Amino acid sequence: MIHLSPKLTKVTHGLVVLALLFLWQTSFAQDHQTIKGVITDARNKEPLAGATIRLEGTNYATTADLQGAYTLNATVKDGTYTLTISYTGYKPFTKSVTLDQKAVTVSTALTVDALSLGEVVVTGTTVAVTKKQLGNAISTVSGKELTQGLATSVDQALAGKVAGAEVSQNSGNPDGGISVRLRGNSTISGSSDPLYIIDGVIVNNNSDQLIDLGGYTENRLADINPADIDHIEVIKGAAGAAIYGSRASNGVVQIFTKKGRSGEPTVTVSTDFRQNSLRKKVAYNTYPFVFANTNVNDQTKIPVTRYDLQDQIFAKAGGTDDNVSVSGGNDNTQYYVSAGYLFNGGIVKSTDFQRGTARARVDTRLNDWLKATVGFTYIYDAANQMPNGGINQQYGALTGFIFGNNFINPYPNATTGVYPTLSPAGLQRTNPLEAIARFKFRENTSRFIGNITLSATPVKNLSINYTLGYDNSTELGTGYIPIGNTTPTYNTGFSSRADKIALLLNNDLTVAYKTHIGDRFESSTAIGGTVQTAVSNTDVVTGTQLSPVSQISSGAATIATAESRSTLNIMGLYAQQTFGYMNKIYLTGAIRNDVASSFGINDRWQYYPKLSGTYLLSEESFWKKSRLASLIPDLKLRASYGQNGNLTAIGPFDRFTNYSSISLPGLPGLASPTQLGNADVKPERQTEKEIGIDASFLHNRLGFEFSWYDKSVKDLLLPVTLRPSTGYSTQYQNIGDMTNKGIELLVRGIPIQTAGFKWDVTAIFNSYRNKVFNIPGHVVTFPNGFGEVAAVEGYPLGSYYATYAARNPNGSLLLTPGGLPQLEKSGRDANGQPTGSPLTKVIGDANPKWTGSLTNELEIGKNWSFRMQWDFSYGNKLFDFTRRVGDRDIYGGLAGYMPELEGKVPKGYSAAIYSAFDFWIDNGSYAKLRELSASYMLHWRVLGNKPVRISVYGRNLFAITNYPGWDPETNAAGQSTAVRGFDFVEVPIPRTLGLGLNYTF
Amino acid sequence: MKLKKYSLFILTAASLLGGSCKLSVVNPNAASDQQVLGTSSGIIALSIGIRQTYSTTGLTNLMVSPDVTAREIKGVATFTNVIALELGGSNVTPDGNVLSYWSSMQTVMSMCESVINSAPKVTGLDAGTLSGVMGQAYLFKAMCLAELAMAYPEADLNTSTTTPVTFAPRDQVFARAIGLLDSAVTAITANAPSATFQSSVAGPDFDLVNTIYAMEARINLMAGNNQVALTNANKVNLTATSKFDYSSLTPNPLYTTYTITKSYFPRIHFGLPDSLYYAGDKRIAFYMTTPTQIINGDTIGTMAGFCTSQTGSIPVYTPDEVRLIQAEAILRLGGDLNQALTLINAVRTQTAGDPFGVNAGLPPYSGTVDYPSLLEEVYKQRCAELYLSGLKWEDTRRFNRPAPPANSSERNRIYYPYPTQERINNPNTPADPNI
Repeated sequence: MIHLSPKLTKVTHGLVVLALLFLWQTSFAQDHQTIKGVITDARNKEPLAGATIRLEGTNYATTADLQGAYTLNATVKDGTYTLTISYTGYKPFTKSVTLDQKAVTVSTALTVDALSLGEVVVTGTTVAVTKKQLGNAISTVSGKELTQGLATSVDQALAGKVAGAEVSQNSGNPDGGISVRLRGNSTISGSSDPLYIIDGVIVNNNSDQLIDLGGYTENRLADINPADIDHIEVIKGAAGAAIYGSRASNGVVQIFTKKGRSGEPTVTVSTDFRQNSLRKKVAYNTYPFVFANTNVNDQTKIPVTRYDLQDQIFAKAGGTDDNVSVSGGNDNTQYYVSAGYLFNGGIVKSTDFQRGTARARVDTRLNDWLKATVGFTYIYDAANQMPNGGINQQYGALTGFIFGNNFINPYPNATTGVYPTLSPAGLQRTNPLEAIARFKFRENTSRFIGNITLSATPVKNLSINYTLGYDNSTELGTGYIPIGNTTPTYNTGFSSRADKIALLLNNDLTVAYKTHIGDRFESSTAIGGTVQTAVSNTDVVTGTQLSPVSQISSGAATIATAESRSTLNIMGLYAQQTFGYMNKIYLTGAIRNDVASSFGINDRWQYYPKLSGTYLLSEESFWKKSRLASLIPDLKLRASYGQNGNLTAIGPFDRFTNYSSISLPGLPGLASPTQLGNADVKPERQTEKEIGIDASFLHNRLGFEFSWYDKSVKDLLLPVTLRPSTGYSTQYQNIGDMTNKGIELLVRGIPIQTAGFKWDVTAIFNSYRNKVFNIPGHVVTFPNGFGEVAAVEGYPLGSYYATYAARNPNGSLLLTPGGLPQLEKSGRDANGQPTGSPLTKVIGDANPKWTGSLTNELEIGKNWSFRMQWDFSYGNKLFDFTRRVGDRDIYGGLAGYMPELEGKVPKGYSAAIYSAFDFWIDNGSYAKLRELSASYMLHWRVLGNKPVRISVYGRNLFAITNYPGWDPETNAAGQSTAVRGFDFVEVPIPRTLGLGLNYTF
Repeated sequence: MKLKKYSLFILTAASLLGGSCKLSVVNPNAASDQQVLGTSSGIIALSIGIRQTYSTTGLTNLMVSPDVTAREIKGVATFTNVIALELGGSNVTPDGNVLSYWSSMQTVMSMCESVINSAPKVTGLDAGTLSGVMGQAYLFKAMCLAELAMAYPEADLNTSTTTPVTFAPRDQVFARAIGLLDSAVTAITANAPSATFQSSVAGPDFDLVNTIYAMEARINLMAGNNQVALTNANKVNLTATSKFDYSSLTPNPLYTTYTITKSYFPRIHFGLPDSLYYAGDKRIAFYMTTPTQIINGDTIGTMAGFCTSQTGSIPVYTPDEVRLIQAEAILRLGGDLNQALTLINAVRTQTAGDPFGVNAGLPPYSGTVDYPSLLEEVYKQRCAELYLSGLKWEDTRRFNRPAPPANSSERNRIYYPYPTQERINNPNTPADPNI
């Protein structure tokens, strides 16, 4: 069934006609040509295995083998061509070659380039261009950088490696979710994570809460094996990503997988063993007495034994990451096949994450004008989880820890096996030891990602690309709490099963043509179209009141089910034109027209323009002739402007008034929903302006990349509260605005470079200010921050907004006559005491003032290499609910309650400050030793001349911070866009040590 | 021919590109307004939804908050809204409860208005089914307006998604409710509700025609139209019943409130001062049971009555309410005292046979037979017979019972304040009543 919109049909026809016009004037004589050579590093004459050799204007390319040697066989007609040899981090080498069916030899030694302006990128441009032509900043990360720090997922590995990116691991669980923010938030209602594309496939990065785990969820990028990745390109905002249209408002992360090279089969085997451990315990209450009663005037105490529950909850856990790949091929067909297995043990007992991946990629030349790439990845992963935190449900293990009294013996009764309740009367929470011993929460994902890409080069400089991307995942979450337990709500047992099947499909067609106009001008033109669909089906079955032994939901006395299905269709068309002048000025303009089925019919089609320019001052002849050329060999000024949209802020059917299906006995019916539809909703629209300067000094040994951006989002979609007299309660409206203004800076230097020693330093600095405006009623609070986190007019998104302590004009606490702190209220009574209703205000901000990283890499001799990466965050505040609960009298498990027991503060103090939330805002600034590694290349005679790389790794070894909790990085609200820095007993990020071996033969 | 091959490639790619997409995706999960309001099946389903929403979300509010305010039940939970409701008076605002009360009535009203506006336009409804769905929509909108007027000095006569509604004084709200009931009578008189209506909308236990007359009687009595109330009460067939039915998917809201969440408990003796109840009244044992406990000086029991089962029915009105309406109307019209006494005794002396099991088992009235005494006896009987129905708060106004702040023994507020959410979004919202 084809339901093509008339508009798209017209444009598709247009594309076909245009492509045919190009073909019409073609002659087809083709000849066999051979180019070969050896590529080395100019510093130490070592071979540069993996260097890319491309014949420009054709789709012929190859890579250098382990000895740096290459042979490029091409079937193109005789003539003069440009050969480009490039390698990440090195200055590319270009040479004009004349091909006349005689073998040509081109060998070269590449020199390092701190700025990498010659690096070739494709994201945001569709055709390969060097970075120097771009008007916007683009970051690249090599696959090697991702696998040197024990990271288990791609997004985790990106931390500290991309200017303008803020990567936060929200949970220290072995499958804990990760948030990536490129230049700050771009929405309130939707996800703020970027669009991920793997080999042209738009992939699912949902954070689906199948079973309530207290806030934390996996994000589906956890399925991708970092070992399969060749390199990553990151575009941070609309100025660069406009051609991705309405899915790119949070930026684009494009991932390229490893591919085979022609030659003998190459096998790489790698393995590592790792150990995760709790980096730091929180200080707990060790005072051996409790108060006999709650009367503030009675200091009577009773002796008790205090237990260290953290010792019983946390443990060291092992892990392993094993990968094997085989690659090879001939001139026409190359293959890369890999398999990986990860086991990552959790520091909370009974938790782990396992992932098996299998990947095959085949690149084949069907004939002299057509190439095909086929990639298949199958992933199966399984997690044993432990509910923690507790935004909605209170059955979590750490929830039980913080609400528990640590003076009660937590162990089960020796004869009955029944666990005692640790929490105070009337506030039942789970005994954490019981949760660890008896709960079973699991999540399994089976996922297939496939792509087929066809690239045609019917004429020199004309390329036509078609990609079909397919990503289907089946997630299954199960939760089981046996009968007779200490949970607050499920002591008769709980079993839940939730399934989600999610399919993403994208079709992309691009036609690109590059040409020179006279001697001075060059032009590259691209037009393209895309058709995408996202389908999902979700089922949840929850049973309570279980029969004994049975762990399944259908074995329950009370069963509730829920099902939902959704389909989102997207189409888009774009055209992009770049003009270059004398290799020094480049101007690019693009326009994209997008449509999505989730929006109202009137505003469905949206245009997203882009304009950018770059000026390479160092290419001017006056510059080249002056002394400046040796001092500042590269100087580039750039500016860009672009817009794009957001499709994911609302669900596919949120614009309708969706009647609820209800029933009376035997009578199915429909009832009005609480949410009123809005037929006129349209995508949020982001406008980004960016200007930047790139420069290199000291013979390219010091590179400097600076960008300033102003990213604003209009027509934010918010669930607006309605007058009840409408008959409804909320409605999605395009109402708010948001701005992010900031800078990002990357400095890379190579202070020492000799044949036997190289020292490489990279520093990244990011800083931005986020603000929201036109918020209806000035405040919108978020339930997953207990209503204490809000979007407040004129403040950053995610500001903490709550009641606070009353203070005197000099800032000191205004105490009650009894000497206790108290809440600020709307007025003062005759005695100067607060009276009226409690006031709320902004009391803190989750957003850091700046973030950054500092990476040092050393290469010593031929065999030793070292790497150290520090990540920094400054000025971010955390909402420390963990301490708030643990320091309070009735729970009292943390050390913060001890002063009250010791008589250093009045009895009743902790209860008095419980709702004065400004007491619970903590400084979360930190410096973390994120990654540390040392590698040695072991040459063993029995292994021939192929060395074994032996490495020791460390991750999150050490942190410098004043934060009193476990970890200033985590967030109990998971990957929530608005609620950040919310510490409510989230599992801390472990310290990890590892030993790895890697051998290629 | 290479050209042909290229063309084939491009055409294949282009057709794959356009192969899947449509932009008007139907939501398989739920019906939208056009689908509901434009079809006869949608109108029938929405008619069921009106009754479902009123009998669940609606009754959760109508049969709880006013009962606390009229001191029939006690809020014991420590949620701030429950504390504020229980405390009463002018200093505290039970905003959660009043928002819920106000909103649930507005939601049902808006659904009724949808049926009233759309049902006559759709095809496929026979005359008797159309008169049934129209009659039911008029009826429930009238009930909602009356419930709003019972809690607020002013209310809106219609809902609106386009412009902020204006407010009318409560006598006009009652008048509008009566006008709607008259429209319902006209509709069902012109075309008697059909068997299709009974089987596909009303179900076995909901009696539309008698409910319309019972509500004409109830609301006219509140509005002071005693003769009209009496005339309509006389039209109610006292052997018929009309009930809201429940299932495990749509549980009895009183069961959930009093047996699961347990934020509220019944005050013993219906919360009445000693002078207002009779010690041997068997209705006490019908509505509440043991154990009893004392919380903050008040003795509370355990709820029984219509709250004991997840699937138990709740009466829409009771025949004994109609008898008491007749008695009260006769008295207020200056009619025959003995006729009123006979009706009162019919309620008092019932020992068995009440269709809902609410049997007083009291001896015949033995007090003074004069207008004020019998009127007070009607009030006493209403307090017992109609316990937990949400009607007592309005009765305290009509019977001029002691009022707060001077005396909070029978009610702790005169009216409710308007919900903050309405006030913030609607500039026409009147000032809150003082108490």
